[in-house]
Amino acid sequence: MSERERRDRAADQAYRDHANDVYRVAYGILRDPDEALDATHDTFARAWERWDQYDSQRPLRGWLHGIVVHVALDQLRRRRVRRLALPNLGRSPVAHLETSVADAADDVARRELVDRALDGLRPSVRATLVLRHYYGYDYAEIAAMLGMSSGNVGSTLSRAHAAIRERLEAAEPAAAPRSAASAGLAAARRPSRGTTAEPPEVLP
Amino acid sequence: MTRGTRPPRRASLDDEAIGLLVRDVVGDWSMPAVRLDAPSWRDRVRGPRTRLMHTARLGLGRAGRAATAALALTVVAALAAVVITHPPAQPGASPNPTGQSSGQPPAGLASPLPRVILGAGDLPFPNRILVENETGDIALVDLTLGEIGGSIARSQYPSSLTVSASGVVVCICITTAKPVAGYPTELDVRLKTFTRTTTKLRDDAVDVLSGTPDPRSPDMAADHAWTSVSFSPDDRYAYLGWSTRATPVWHSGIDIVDIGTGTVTSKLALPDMTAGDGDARRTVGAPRVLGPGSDGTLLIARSWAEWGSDNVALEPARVGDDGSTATVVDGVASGLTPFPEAANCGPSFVRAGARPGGGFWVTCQTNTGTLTLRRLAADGTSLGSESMARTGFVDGDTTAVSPDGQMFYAWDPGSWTLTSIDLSTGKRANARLVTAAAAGAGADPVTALGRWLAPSADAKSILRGAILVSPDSRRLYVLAAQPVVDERLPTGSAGILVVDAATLQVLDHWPPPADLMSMALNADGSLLYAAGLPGVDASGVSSLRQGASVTVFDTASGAQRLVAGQLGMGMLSFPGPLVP
Repeated sequence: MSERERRDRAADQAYRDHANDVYRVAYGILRDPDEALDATHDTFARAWERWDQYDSQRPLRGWLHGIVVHVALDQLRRRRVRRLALPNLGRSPVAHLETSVADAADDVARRELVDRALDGLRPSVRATLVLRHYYGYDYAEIAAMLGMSSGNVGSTLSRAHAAIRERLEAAEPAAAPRSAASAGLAAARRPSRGTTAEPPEVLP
Repeated sequence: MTRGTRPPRRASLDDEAIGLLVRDVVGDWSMPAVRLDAPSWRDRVRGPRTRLMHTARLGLGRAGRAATAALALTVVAALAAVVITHPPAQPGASPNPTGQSSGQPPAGLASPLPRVILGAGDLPFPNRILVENETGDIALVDLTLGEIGGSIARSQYPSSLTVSASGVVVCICITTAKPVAGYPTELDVRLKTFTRTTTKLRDDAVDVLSGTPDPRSPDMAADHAWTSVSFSPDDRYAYLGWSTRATPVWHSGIDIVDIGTGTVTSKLALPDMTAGDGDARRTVGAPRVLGPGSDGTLLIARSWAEWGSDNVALEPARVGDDGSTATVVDGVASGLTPFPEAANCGPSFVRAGARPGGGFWVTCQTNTGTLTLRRLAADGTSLGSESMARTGFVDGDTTAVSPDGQMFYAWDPGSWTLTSIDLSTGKRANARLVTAAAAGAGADPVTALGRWLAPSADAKSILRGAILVSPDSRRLYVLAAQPVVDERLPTGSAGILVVDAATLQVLDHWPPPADLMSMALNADGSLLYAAGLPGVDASGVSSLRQGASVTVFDTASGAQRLVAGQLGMGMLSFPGPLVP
C-alpha cells in the first residue's frame, strides 16, 4: 500500500469517527450549518495534507479540533462576502433577542435562551465553551487550540458564564433557583457525548 | 479555589449548571446530511480548480445566482482586460507589491508582533486613540502601553456609534424588547454621549419604535422593524432612519437628532410602502440619509425586498429601492421630494455627497460588486454614470472623496485598479497599480493571467478605510491585498501604496507588519494609522497568537513610528478617515 493510500484510509476513518465532533465545534464558532459543514470538510482536507504532522500517540480528535478552530475562525472573517444578495435594508435587531418569562418556563425555552445567549458571545468564546463543557478539554488543551494562555481560558469561561447567567436570570428571575436542578435533569436525559466522565471542573 | 471550598452562591445558576446547559444545547448540534453534489474534503485535496468550482457553487446557493454569474463574468472580464492591458514588464516606479513570486503559500511570520515597539523619532501623536471594536462599539487604545480598553458605550447591536471631531463618543443606542417569532417588535432608541474616558455626557430618549407581526403569517421569522443611523458631516446631527411593519403597510421615517442638545428637532415621514399583496411578503428597509447636497438638502434612499411566500429564508423574488430629497434647515426637515434618478442604482447604496457647483453624486453597489457612480444635477437631471468593476467582494467602502469635494476615487483591491473621477466634469482616469512582480516575476503571460483569474468569494474582503486622501489632496493611500494565487491558501496584506493623486502613479510602498484592514490619518496628515486583523499574520496565515494591531506610519518617510501588536483578539478598525 502506498503512502498516499495509507493516508487516504486513515483520513477516511477519521472522517467517519470524528466528522460530527469537528462539525460541532465549527458550528459553535460559525453558527451556520452550511458554513460549519464547509469548515468541516476544509478541516479534513487540511488534516489530510498535514497527516505526517499528526502524532499518533495523541488523541486524533484533539488534533482535529485544533485544526477546525483555525479553519472556522478564519472562515468567520470572510463570511460576510457571501451575503450580498439582499439590498441594504438597515440594521435588524435580531442579533440580540429576549424571550418572555412565560416562554422560559420549560427546558426547551431555556435551551433556546442559552442558544441565543451563545449567539451574543464572541466566536472564540463560544468555541471555548464547547471545547470545555461538551468535550471536557482542560484549560491547557483549550489554550493550545485557541492560542491563548490557560489563565485566559479561565477568565473567558468565567465571563461567558456570567453573560449566560445574566441572560437567563433577566428572562426568568423568579425561576432562577430551580435552574440548576432543571439543567441537571436536561443533561441527565441526554448522555454526554464527550469522552470525559467527570463533569467539567468549575473555575479555580 | 476548588469546588468543595467554594462559598455557596445565593440562589442562582452556578457555573456547573451553566456548563450543563451549554452541553445540553451543544448536543443538539449535529452535522446535517451531506449533499451528494457538494464537494467533500476529498474533492478539496484534489486541487484548487475543484475548490474554485465549489466556491462558485456555494455562491449559487448562498449569495444568489447573480453572485456566481458575476464570478464567471469577472473571470471573463479579467481575462479580456489582462489580454488587452496586461501589466507592462517594467512599470517604472511602481513597487513590488507582494514580494511573492511563486505559487507557494506565503510564509507566516515567525512570531507574533510585540505589545509595543517604538521606531525612530518622537512618540507619535495622538497616541491615545479611539477605535471601533468587534461589537461595533468604541474603545480607547493607548498606543504607548499597547492596551485597548473596553466598550465605552456598552451598546448592543443594532446601535450605531461615531466619534465627533472633538473626540466625543456618540451613540444612537438601541435596545430591543417584546420579540415575536424571534424578532423584537419594540425598539427603544436613546442618544448617549461619552468622553473617551467613558464619562457619560448625555442620555436622552429619542424614540420608541414598534413593529407588528404580519397577521397573515404571524410565525414568519422576519424582521418587524429596521433602523439605519448616519451622522451629519459636522457631527451636529444624527439621522435615525426607521421602518416598522403595520400590515398592510410599512411605515418609514427619519428622526433628526441634535447631538448637542439631545433633542429630536424634526421627524420626517416617508410614504408608506406595501407589506406585500396576496401571498407576497415584503420587508421595507430603513431609509438612509446617504449624504448632504451642496445646498443643505439630504439625499435619502430606501430599499425593499419581496418574497413570493412567507419563506423569507429563500432569496427574495424582487428587490428595489426609491430615492428622495429633503431640505434641512436648523435641524428641521421638510419638502420631501421623490428623486427618481437616484433610484434603481443598485441594491446597496454606499454613499452620496455634494457635487461642486450643486447637485449630488451617489454610489451604489450591485450583487456582483460592480460599483456605480452617478452624478446628478440639483434638479435631478442625470449628468452621467460611471461603473467600476470589482474583483471579488469587499466588505467595506473602498471609495474616497478629496477634501475639496472635487475628485472621487475608487480602489479595487482585487485588481489593484485605482479610478479617479472629476465630480464636476465626469472626466475619468484608471490606473492599474500592477507590476510584473505582482503578476508573478518571470511568469509567462498565461501564468500571470491565471493568478488574476482567481477572484474568489473567499478572497480578502473586510476593509475599512481602504483608501484615504491626504489633507492637501495630493496623495492617496490605498490598502493593498495580495492577489489570490490558490483558492485554498490565505491571502494577506500587501501593505500600503502611496499614490500621486494627480497622476495615479505609485510613489511609495510600505510593507505590512500585519494583515492590514483599516486606515486613518491624523489631522495634519503626517501620520497614518493602520489596523491589522487579529488571528492572522501579515501573510493572512492563521496565527492565533497574533492579536489585533495598530501600526503608525510616518507619511513623509514611510517609517514605522510605532507598532502596538497585541490589542486583543477582536477585530478593530477606525470609525472615520481621521483618527480620533
